[in-house]
Amino acid sequence: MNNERFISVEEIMESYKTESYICSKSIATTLFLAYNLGKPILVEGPVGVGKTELAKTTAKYLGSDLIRLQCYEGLDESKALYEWKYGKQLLYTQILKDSLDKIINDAGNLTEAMDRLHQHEDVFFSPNFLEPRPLLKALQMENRSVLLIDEVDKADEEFEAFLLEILSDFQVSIPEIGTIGAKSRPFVFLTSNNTREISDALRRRCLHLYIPFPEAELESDIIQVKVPEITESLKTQLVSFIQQVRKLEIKKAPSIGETIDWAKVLLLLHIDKLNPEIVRETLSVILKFQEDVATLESKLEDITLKAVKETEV
Amino acid sequence: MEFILQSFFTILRESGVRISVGESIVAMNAIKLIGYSDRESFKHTLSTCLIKTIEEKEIFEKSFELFFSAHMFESQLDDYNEYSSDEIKEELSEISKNILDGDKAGLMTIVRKALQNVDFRDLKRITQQGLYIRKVMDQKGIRDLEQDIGMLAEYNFPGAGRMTMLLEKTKRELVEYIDSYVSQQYNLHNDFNDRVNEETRIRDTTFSKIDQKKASDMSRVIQILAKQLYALHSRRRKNYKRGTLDIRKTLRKNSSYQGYIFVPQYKYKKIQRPEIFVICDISNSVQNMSRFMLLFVYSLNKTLLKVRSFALCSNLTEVSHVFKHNSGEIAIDKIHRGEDIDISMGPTDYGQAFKDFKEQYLSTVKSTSTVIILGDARNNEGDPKSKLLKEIQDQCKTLIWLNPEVETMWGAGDSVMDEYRKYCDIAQECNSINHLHKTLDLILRS
Repeated sequence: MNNERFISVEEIMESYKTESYICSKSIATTLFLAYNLGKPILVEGPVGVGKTELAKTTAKYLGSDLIRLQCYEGLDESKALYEWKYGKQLLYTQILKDSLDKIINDAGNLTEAMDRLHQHEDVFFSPNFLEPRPLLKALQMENRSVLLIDEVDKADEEFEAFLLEILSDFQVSIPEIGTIGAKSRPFVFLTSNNTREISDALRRRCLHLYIPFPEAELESDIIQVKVPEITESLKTQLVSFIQQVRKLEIKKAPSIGETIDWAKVLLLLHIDKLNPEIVRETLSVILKFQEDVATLESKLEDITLKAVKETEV
Repeated sequence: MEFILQSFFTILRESGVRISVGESIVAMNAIKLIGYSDRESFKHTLSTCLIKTIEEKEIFEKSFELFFSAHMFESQLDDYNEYSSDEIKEELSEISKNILDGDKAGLMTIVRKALQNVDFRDLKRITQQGLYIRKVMDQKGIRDLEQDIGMLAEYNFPGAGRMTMLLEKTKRELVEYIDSYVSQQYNLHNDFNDRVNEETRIRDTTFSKIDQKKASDMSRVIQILAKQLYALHSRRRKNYKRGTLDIRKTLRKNSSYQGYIFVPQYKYKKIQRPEIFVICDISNSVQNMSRFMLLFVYSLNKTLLKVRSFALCSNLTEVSHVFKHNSGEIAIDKIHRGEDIDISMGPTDYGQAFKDFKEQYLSTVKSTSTVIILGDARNNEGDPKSKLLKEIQDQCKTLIWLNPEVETMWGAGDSVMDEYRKYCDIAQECNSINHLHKTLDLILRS
């Protein structure tokens, strides 16, 4: 682990920028605290503001492995934490039949045979037969890893309860083996899209970070970093357009990811100035619902003109 | 500073933000790391450690601005050393010394202590504010400031004038600060009390008496109740559970491999979620009622209930799709306006509606489904066709009729409730959120 990481909020903002991730001061402050206090971060916000990206960038920045656990309905311990390799266990009992025979063959009676077997029984419930899933894997890493528990709101509430032990004590209890502590404390990110309320117990254990859609200035910086070839004027128009669209009442507001895609598309088409026609043709990049396109249609010219004006001043 | 933070936590708690002891410790440690020098970082730090939902964030923003009013951070206390006469200073009280030395932490401690000594719980009327400001200013420690100002005015030495000025200025700021603190206390205490009472009251309010403002409060209470119901029932209703090794199934499956077992089989458990058909009368007489019923039903998590909804007026039509594409409130408004749905808003005709239901949807009602009908059963003298209702009852598990009118009114005038209730498994008066809550709880339990 590099000790020069996470020494100050400013340092984080700088370094993340070199990793092509522009983080606001509140994000940087939270990262700094989470790292230094060893707390998990619960990241909330609309779709596509870079919640997952934040964890990925952190992993890159720390030079450590990113272990990702995608949550979904019905996710349970055996998929998230560990599972016995039942198949392997069964197969081994078959293969090892002969050796088992040898052990019990010269036993005088049943009790003795059982006793002998008992001496060996744990063989099949040892770490060799343990299939570590993401959570256990993160705990077993030699170096501090970044653990991303993505869309935790998609999992059932029971799963949340089960996360509590891991997030507060960084240990798991496996009945057959005992408690396994963390070799290194992973840096944990949980993301949520708010499809369901996260329980208070889980919230209490985490630092909370809400990432809203970025302000015009920040978004402009982000595009600059992600699409460096873009011209200054197009960038300003683009951002102004997107910011206005987000204020409309639409089903799915364009995310940062979509803004970036749009910038790339426009660049590919060699456009250096927005006009209503081009916007209409490329609208499918930022709006993903037909209703939204229809809503925008009536205001499209106004918005485009306003966006273009920004650069003329 | 720790003391100040603690009182800030208390304020937040009183405003309804849940802060555990653990969280406050984390916040303290975090502040130690970040320091106090930068206001923005300071605020982010507190926010990230204490505020865990977006709703709470708003409360936090307000409380923070009020509590840490900007002048605490800007060094506006002049450096006074060039004028200070140490002998005079010795005679002054602690508070004045703090001001003259520019020791803001010390000053704040005195102010905090004074504020703590005053019991704000009796502050019930906004007109009492002045009285309470006086009360704080009269507390030990602060009282001395006024004496010092009087004393300094009598001295005649270079710098005394400036000293007095500085003290006067600080005093004015103090009064301002205490003023905002007092009004904040007023808001906090009264808000909090109001909220608790309001909630219980809303649950029992009759639907017909609801105006626009209360409607939004109502929706909030519904959300809370829906969450409770969800918490209560979700555990049982996990629809698909992957279980442990199923020995019997494994043996059976592997028998084809000469008894060598290596393909394990697991136990699966499937629990059905109840399916309910909600038939809502959306004519004016029952509008409010149907509004909250729909809101409630759709607030429940989808994993818990399978809901299909129908609107009823002069005819009947399915409206489930409206909820699929719009959020609760918007969808309900759309339905009431008759937007996007095939409904004629003439006089209510239950007979026709049941006929429509039978012809188009009855075949999809399973023996495990529950049908809920909301309406006042005022059929405008039309043919009630209660035989059709019986057919619906035969097809489903439970037929529930919720009527917003009091039971004694059933059957009076053009109400055909007496006719209909014969075929209902449950017929209930239902005109408040508490009634709705009970009914839904019943369905989930069954």
